[in-house]
Amino acid sequence: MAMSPSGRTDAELMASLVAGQDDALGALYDRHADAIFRAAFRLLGDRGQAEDVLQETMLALWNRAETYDPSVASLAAWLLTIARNRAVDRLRARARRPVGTLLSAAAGAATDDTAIDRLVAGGELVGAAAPRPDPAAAAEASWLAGAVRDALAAIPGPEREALELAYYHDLSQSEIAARLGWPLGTVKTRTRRALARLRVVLAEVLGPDAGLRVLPSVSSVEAFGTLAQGGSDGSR
Amino acid sequence: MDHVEVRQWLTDALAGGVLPSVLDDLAAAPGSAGASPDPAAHEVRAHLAACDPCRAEAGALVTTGALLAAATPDDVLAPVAARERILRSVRETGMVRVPAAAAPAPAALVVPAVPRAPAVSRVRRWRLVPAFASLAMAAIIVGGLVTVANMGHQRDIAQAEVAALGDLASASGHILARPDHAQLPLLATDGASMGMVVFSPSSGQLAVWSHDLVGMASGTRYDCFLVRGSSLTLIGWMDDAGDVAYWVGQTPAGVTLGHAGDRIVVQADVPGAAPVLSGTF
Repeated sequence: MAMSPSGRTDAELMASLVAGQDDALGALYDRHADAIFRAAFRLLGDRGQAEDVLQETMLALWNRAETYDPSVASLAAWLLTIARNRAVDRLRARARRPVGTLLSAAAGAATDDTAIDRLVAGGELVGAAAPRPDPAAAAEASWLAGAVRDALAAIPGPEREALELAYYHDLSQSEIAARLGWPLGTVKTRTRRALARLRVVLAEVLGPDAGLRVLPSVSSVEAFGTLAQGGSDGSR
Repeated sequence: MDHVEVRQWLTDALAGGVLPSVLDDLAAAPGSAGASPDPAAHEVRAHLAACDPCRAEAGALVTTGALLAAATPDDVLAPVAARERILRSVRETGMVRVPAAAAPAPAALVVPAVPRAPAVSRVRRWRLVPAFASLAMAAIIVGGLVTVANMGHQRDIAQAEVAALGDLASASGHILARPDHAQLPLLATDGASMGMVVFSPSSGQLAVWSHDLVGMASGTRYDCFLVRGSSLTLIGWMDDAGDVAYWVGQTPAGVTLGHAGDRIVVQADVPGAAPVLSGTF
């Protein structure tokens, strides 16, 4: 059972919360917020929406603390299930919106029920995060995540670093420039080029059909500069 | 904006981890709730509406974003700046918790702290309300409890429905306690009154409920929209609490309820569905 730095278990903190001890909420947040946010971001790919899910999950924790039964599930599992439900609701709403339909159709995401379709639209694949995952969906999710990590690893270091700092770690272009000592223009160029290069690599990994779903157009590649190793990126 | 600028704009949104939100904003009609005030967004929206290749490119970026997100590493952390905001929000909008030793004799309705139906999104709960205000929802609660008793399902399902009804009662009572509260009957297609909207324009709080949404039990989802002219704004999707379908929460940012001619409609979440409930301000 998880222990806080002060030695209180999750169950003890929940009991404190039920008893009206306000500090327990902060302690539970500090212990579980990162995992909840991460799980939501994995499903939603949007920092703001993942933050909303985190807030709603903490609100559910606060409102339903009396119902938590540690003999049924760990608190982490309970919270992640709540977060997953909230995130899946958002994915389904997203799939219903006109722009989502429009873009999916334009990108060729029709009705073939591929793993990527389900990942994007919030179908069964995201169920891999559920307490009782579908083994096939879990395997697909794991394979896709591994393929993306491999594709990221194939990108030249500076470009990958710029993309990872922006996408995963929420640094603005100015913050990246300051941290890495690059001109702002270089940050922009490297980030855009990293994404273009990632799409090319992913297209190869995903194969001829699914790969077309991420492959950048020739004009986009030209817009972001050459993808050749060592091509000019505006750095000095 | 030309093709290159649009694609760079969308690519930057993806790199910043905000592309889905940006596309949500683009989906909103200009001037409507949820539409981005950013002039560049309007230009991108106009460009995408007329440019098949750029729409295809945007779709590919969406797919790329979903793949990137699925590979999120374990060292990604919740934003530090979010902590105090979230904790403050939970304390302000969640149920009142009083230290056990200091708890006074109950003078107000206490919403039962039992589980509610899962998969409730965009729900905001408000602090407990005086008992007199919540009495307005007594009929619904009783109806729901009878329904629960008759169902004979597991206790946790019953508890969830009771809790959901408690949420609805609490929220509705809070709205009804506000001086500017108003009500809007929801009518079925045959003109029968089958539901109600209560709202407070100043606070943006809104509750919608109905006893007449066929198919909720079998999994059909119903969405609630605000219709203003040709613009449709999603308010939320109805939750199932026994015989009562409901949604409670805040109106979308920028939306004020009560404009003459605006409509609230509820319709099934299936392609081509027509409104099953409707009310006109």
